Amino acid sequence: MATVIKNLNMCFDGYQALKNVDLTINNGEFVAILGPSGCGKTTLLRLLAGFLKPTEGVIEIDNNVVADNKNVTSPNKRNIGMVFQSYALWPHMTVRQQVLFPMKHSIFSEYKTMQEQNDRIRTVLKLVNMETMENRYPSELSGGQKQRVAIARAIANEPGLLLMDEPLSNLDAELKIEMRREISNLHKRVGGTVLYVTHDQAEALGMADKIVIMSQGEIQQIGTPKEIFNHPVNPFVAKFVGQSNLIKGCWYGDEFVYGRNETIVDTEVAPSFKKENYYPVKADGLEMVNKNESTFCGTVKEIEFQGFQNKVILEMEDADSIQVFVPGDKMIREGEVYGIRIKSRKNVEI
Amino acid sequence: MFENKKYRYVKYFIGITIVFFIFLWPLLSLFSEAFTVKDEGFTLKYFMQVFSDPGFKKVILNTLFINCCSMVSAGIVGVFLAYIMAYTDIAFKNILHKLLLIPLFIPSYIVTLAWMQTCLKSGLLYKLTHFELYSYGGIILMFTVCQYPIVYLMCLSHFRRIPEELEQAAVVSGCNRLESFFKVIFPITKITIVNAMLLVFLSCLDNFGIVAFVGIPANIQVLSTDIYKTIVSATSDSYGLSAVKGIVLSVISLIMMGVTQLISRNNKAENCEKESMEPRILLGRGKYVAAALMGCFVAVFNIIPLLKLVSSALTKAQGVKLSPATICFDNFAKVFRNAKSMNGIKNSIFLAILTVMICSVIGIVISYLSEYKKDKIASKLQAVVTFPYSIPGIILGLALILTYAKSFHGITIYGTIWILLLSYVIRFTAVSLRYANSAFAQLDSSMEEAAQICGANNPVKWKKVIIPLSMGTISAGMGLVMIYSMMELTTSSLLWSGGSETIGVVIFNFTSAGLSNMASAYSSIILMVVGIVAVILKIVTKLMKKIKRA
Repeated sequence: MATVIKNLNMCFDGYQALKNVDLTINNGEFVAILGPSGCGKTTLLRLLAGFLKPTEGVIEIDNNVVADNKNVTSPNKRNIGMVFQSYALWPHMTVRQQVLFPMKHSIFSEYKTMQEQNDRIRTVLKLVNMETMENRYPSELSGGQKQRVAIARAIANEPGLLLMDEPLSNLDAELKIEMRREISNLHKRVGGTVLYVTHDQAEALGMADKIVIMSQGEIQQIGTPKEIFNHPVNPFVAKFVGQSNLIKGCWYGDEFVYGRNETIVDTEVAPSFKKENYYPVKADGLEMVNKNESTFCGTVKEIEFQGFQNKVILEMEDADSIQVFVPGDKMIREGEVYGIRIKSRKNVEI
Repeated sequence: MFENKKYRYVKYFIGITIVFFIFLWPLLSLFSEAFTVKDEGFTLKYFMQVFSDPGFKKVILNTLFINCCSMVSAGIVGVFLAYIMAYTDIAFKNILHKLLLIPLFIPSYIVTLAWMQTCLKSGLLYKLTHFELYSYGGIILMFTVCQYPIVYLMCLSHFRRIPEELEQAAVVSGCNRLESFFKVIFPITKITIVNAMLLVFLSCLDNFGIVAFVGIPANIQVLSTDIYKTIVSATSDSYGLSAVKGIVLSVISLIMMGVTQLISRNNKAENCEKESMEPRILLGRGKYVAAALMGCFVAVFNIIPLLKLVSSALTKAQGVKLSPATICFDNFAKVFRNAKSMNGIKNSIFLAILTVMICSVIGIVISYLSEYKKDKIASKLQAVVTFPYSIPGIILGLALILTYAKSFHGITIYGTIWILLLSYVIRFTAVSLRYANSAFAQLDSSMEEAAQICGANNPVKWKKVIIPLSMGTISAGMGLVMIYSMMELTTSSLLWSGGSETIGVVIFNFTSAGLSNMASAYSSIILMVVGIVAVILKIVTKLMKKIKRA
């Protein structure tokens, strides 16, 4: 089952939340929508769920039009599941009743008899490791357990499309990593199409088959995690995902001039960077040298110890700040001036 | 230190004794009256007499039937209105919300009087529907009109606290809106709804105005009117009999309260979220249609009867149509010339001001000690002070008569205005206490500690820190006590005497004497006075805020 979004636009009282969004989600794919808050990603998710009506454009699920600017199929008539940011567990139902609910009420449910439903409940709760807590109420569960129940409820019917709205944002750091792994594994084992909305790039890079980067209601780039990370198509993506430094300078064809006459040749930089005269480079693509070895100089403002390496933040002469990874054994002093050089690209694996 | 402690205990002892005698003693003497006959001692005579009377069985059945029906219909109306106001984007929401609350601020006997004028046989409503107000249906309608705001307010706030995602999760799982209401919203709010409905039941049990104005002419007796009649019949056993009936009424009321408490305790599903004001059901252009329908509801049930009240006050005789030719101010002139009616206004205002002052002091002190200082004795006192509020007003009135009819060391307060003051204080301290409690619950103890560390002594601490921080909530409670005591009817109808009539009593007497146009005129004046006072208060508080900011 493929979900196709064509030329989707959404306006709220004159504010355009989505601009000309086109996206195809193929069967079995795990797609992450990544963007800062207010970029329209939640709006997109709610349009797919059917809680909103688009101003313009078409959404097709499995070749059926479920939404255009005239008609909207209501959420209960779409074969979808959803995990909410706040989990949205019903306080008056036990874990078992929560999971049973969609099986009993959805028109897409294949579990009609008591026997089938009981078997399915057991299977699903086992998948999320909650089989011993069947009779508990949400108030008796921890954050991570609530999360598991919310997932169990959403996949109970094996929905054609599973929507996840920042499901991990309410968990603490350790649990976040654990649940990230579990959701990934679950997707590998059970399959199914997943649309996962997040503002955390680590989640998107770690779990998704395909990432959609959004900003200000527009799609900036669609690609695999590697493509997005290593080949950002524009300064926004470079800054947001790769946490790249954008070095100011001048492009002459494939040659970039920065500092006072330092040059580097690179054939792989996307045109949008050239147009704005930026060179995107990650913290590990730069090296620190003595101040007389480069004309691109800056003062060390901060050194952050990260174990194998140090992250050094420098304030450059043009008041920009850039980040450089430096091996842990190299001595760097705060307040001193160093030169910066861009390493040539062949060091970077794709 | 030791001296201080001893002194403290003495203070407590005096405080407890006073509170006990004021608040509980009358109820105990009611109990003893039911079981004793003069010069004979213990007796069950009154009990036998009451329970062998088939008329009393009818009274109890009437009470239960009317209260249950009113509870259900007020429940349905309240939940429906709350759902619409909480979740839809209906137009003019703020105004409609305020209009829906009108019955909370107008005493039920004035609302009833207004409906009596609206449902006259010569009126348009009767011609259209042939609705007979003086019937079971009429009483239930009046109860519904006056009590639905209780259910509405409680449900409104709970509906808003349910996260929207809970409903969305049900929709994603395959429910439509109606199903998701019954599967999710209703089960979650069920206990709040039942609680609100039980409150309606209790409030109907306590009510005297509606059943007296509508029930007595229709010859439908309920417990409160039956007790009233027994007391005023003034035979030799009327006090004993009415005490027994009063005990029956209190038992019913206490059972309902017990049920309420039991239900609230088992409330596992309570989840505390912040109230969300965002509309969840967008009606599109339908929001104006919805607003129009809601406006019609408000107009028919809350506004037109009040206009009818004013217009009937402006005509000479009952049933005369209001037109420029028939308009006359005779009723108003009569009311102003009537010494009793003017005296009623004077007395009510005097009583209301004193009641507010006394209740606030008692409420604030007890609440401060128990909620803020976590004093155990004070929290016991809370229970004592709150208890009379749960006793129907008619029983409190009776208990006060029984206690204070005899003179006490040569001083008799029965037959004077002071017994009214006493009954108001007993009844309404619970209200000001409740508001003080919620004010102190919001006030962190570090506020006071900080003031002390900065060198503030007791008076300064109160003046500069505690009172400014808690005044908003407490003054809301004071306003409510003011309205309640100005408009009180139930106990006043038993305790008033020549010279100490109150607003409620004057209206009651006009109506019982068949002078409904004068009653209307008087009610209109009262509504106007209350309205003007409310506006002035609002302006004053706004000005105060401005001055504070400047």
